Amino acid sequence: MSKTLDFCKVCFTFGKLNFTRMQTRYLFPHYFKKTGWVLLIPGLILGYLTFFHQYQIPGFQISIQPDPKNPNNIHIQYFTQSLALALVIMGVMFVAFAKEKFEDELTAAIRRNALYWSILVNYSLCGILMMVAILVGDVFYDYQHILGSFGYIIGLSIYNLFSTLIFFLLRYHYLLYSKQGEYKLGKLSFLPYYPYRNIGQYLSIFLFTLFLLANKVPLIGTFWSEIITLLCFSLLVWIFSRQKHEDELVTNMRMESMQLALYFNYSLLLLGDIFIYGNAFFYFMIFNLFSVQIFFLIRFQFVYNKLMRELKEAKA
Amino acid sequence: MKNSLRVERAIKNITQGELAELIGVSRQTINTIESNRYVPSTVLALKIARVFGKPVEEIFILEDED
Repeated sequence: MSKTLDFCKVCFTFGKLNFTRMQTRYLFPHYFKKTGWVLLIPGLILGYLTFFHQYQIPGFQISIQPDPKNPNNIHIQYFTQSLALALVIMGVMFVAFAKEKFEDELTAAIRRNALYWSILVNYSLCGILMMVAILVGDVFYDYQHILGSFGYIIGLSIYNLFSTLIFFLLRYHYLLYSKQGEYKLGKLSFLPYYPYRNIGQYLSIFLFTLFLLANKVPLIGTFWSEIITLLCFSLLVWIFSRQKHEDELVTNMRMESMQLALYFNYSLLLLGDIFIYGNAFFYFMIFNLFSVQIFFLIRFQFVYNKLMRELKEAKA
Repeated sequence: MKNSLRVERAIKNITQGELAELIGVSRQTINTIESNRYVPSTVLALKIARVFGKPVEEIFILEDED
């Protein structure tokens, strides 16, 4: 019972500085691992069929008549893709965040390292592919004739809905099982505080403002693809540069924040997947290119500032 | 940081698996610590020291570069 409650604590301990048992906090019980695989594998197969072979589960759809005066205008909403995405997300989350059979501080550390690593790989790849699409035109799809590089970004953001999780799963299991009888640690390197943190921070805030303004100001709107690509990189710089005084405790807070950001992001994505359809889901997908990073930065900055405040109070 | 875990285990004549079970971690974790690639938390180091009945400093030793 207490194991199940562990996960519920996520909602209530936001920002609470309690690192005594932090290594195994916020994880599902071990049996979720099997449940996860049972959801994930059919999800991947269904996703492949519906995405590449236009397969739809018979009867799994509704017809909407947006205009009652015009009976020929019928919009059919299929749910197969949403189901596949929901299965994949829930599956990976359960597999990745269930306790190992022998869960200890090292497996928890490896999980978090793999998580941080997968963020780096996924968003570098996203950024590079978008840059290629902008510079040389579309190399993978035929979207360019309709929407240019922006169409390509939409295509990419579909993959982005679950690619971080897949990279993470591969990396995590590689670190755990690649060596017989021993774990791999998967060292991470960070950029120094100065000047990278400031560059990442100011550039990201500036670009994100432009990103939000793009709908209102047509001139900015024409550079939307470029803004999204640059924002992808600048957020990475921000996330991967150290704090001014970064030690073991701060690094721990960093890793925990990323785990919580992921929980929050994919819970939100599941809700969006169920309740948001049509054009709104496109905007939702674009936002998903940055949401993990933003949730992480908010949570991390929040606990870091809290720590600094407590430090000041202790001195006074 | 280096450690004398392997030696201590030999003296006490217990396997990695037995030590892992005593302190509630996986055998791979003990192995990764023994090969000096993972620095355990204070809690884990204290638990290990308690198993061998020695102070922590006798099992885990700081090196110059730490």
